Amino acid sequence: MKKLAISFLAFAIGISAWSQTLENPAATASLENGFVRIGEFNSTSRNNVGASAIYYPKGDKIVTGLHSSVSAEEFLGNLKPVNSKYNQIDYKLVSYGWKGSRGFHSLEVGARVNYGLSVPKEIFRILKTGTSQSPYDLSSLRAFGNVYGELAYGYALPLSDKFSIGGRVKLLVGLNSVDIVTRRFNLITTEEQYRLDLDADIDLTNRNKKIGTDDEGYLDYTSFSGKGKLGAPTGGGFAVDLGLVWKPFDGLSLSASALDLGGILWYYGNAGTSAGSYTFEGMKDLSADELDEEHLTARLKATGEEVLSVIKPKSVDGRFKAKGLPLTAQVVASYMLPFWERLSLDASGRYTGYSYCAPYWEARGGLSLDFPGLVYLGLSAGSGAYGFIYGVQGSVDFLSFRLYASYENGIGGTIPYEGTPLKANNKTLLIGLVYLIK
Amino acid sequence: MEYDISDGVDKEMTLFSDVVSIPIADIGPLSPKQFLGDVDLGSTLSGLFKVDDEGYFVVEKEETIYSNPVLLLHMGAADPTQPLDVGIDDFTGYPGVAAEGPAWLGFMPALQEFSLYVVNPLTEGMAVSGKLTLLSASEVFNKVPISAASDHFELFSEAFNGPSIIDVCSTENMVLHLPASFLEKDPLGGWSSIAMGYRYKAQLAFGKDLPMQIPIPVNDLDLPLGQFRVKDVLLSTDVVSEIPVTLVLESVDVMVKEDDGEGNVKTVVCDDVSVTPGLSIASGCSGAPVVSPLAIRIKAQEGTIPDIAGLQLNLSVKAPTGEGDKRLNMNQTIRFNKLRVTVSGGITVQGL
Repeated sequence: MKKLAISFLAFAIGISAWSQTLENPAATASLENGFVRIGEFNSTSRNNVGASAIYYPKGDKIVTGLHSSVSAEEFLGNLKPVNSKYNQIDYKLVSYGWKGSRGFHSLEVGARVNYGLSVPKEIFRILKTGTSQSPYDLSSLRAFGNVYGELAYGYALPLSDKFSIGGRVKLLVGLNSVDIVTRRFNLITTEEQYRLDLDADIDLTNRNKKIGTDDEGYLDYTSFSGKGKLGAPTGGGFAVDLGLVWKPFDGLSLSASALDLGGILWYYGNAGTSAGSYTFEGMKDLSADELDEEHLTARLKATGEEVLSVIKPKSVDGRFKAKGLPLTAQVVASYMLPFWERLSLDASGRYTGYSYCAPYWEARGGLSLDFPGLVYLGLSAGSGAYGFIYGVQGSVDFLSFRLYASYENGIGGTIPYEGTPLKANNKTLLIGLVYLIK
Repeated sequence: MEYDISDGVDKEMTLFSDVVSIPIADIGPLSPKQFLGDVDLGSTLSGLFKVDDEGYFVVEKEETIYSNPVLLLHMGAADPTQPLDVGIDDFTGYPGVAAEGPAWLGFMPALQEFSLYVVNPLTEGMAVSGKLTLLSASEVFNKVPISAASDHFELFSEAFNGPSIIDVCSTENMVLHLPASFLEKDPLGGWSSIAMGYRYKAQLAFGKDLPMQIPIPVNDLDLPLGQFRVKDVLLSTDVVSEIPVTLVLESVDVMVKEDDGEGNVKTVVCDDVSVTPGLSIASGCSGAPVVSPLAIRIKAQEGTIPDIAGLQLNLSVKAPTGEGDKRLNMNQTIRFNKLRVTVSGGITVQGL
């Protein structure tokens, strides 16, 4: 029985790396002993265009895509309709898991930081080729950043020897958030008229500082109030992770999970809206007396101020906004090779949906080698939204501690000395330490 | 390493490499006074004609046919206590000579006004008889009463349309019928004068092409275009003109500064840059402006457009076309609406 239990544990752990075990809330159903995770750091960096879309080697120098030696076809062909960058850092402060009478319980405290930027290709098109392809839709322009804490309780229940389900409910505590979103940003450029239609929000939680307003009611970023102390949380939310594990027969395990089903209701104490239209048809009624540098400069300045009055955000009352979390769905299949139970054949697929840019997906296959109580090593490779991707996962046990780490990256190289990826890229780095209670 | 940016990135950028169009301004209204004030032609013309209170370009001539103090008339009368008839010598005048000078330059009369007037300083009315001949028509006056204290009593007044100049006017058998004891009726005791004269006024239009081109220098422009490496610039505008002349920009020379190698900088014509020649602005008239689309292309034949120090415009002024009131007026305006610039081939900058 004990041998069976150990084998089962080994099998369970051997499904995939330990980090993935903890990610799927159903995977802990088969654990016999508890654990204390002392900490886990997980960094994800995702960009759908690389530096090679911006920088171009020409002879003995590096030029930008806006250089005359780079054709419009080449430069714009290397960009995406929406060019996005997304970064996320998860830090699990502490986790505790324990075996209950039937299922497995877990408690987790952590924090997450995510930030992203998306820039429509149209902006680069205007800069590169000019204004002949009007109208331009720039409404996918977006920037955001969030910091929030998580307090999670998970429960995994084996329904049978072959089937387990699990769930995790997460209380989310919003700490800080900034969000710039454009609902409408149209630019029409003709010989006789430039027209701008803008409807955008800028929201910033006022946990630390309150942005002032100028005499005309616009947000004044040079004026702040507040003492800089840590204030109360500015948002609250709820999310759910769901998972299942199915072992149709010995040696094969299929698992599926859906993570971060939920969101946060933020209160943005600093809120502004830029809305309106501005049409520029040239300086009107320019008299002969005004045809000198001083007057022309003054008229141009006045025009600039009129444009700014549309672009600058006007302060509005603080408001609540619900923001969904990036939703991740994952499936994993693992098959313990019959000729050697230490070796497993793995396959996985992942999909992450974002509210501000195209989703990320990948599919991989790999091998994993597991010596329970000693070491685990997994290698995987596949393809995804950003091309080829590979991963290395591993863990090593010493005494009752398990140190685990994984690294995933694409190929395509980086900027020397800087590490900025040259191609579209998804890079993750994870490292964690857990104490296995025996 | 191909993408090694540790030594920096070349930040030269060529923006809008296909085409960029920018609306600039609506300029105006501009008036002929502003145009003529900056060129030599203004000072030349100011000696030939002037501007009346309504702003029309006019020539005027006033000539005295007869003038005699009341005292002298009294002393020559046989019986001053009786009414006196005073004969005026026949007179021939040339009112149109005032219009001949501008006509040589193409400024023809559009509306001519001629009036024959009498000055009666007496406190009692008098009368005038005689004959006026103007052009081919004659007007006979038979004791036409002239009211007392008339500064300029118009005995005859008529306006003529058309460019034919009223060249000659003549009076015959003009007689002044003065009342009895007329000296006592002079409030100045004989020192005021009884007079007769004519006034001529012609409002001018441009009747024929100006014989020479007008060079208009645009100095101190100092447009630093060289750094932007621009090759082709198109300036477009809709010219809305009330001015009843046809303006033709025969040619434009682009002026650049050149160092002669000895530290002396002079301004010379740039042969590498061409500007669209033969641009025409159609004539309009007051209250009925005419729109002329104008497109000026400035193009570098080789290389790019350099820093432009100034421009030399060579303008031809031609007679107006079409119907309508062709009188020139200082209040007529010209506007440059929807002035926009289109740059083809890109604008080069050193970083954004």
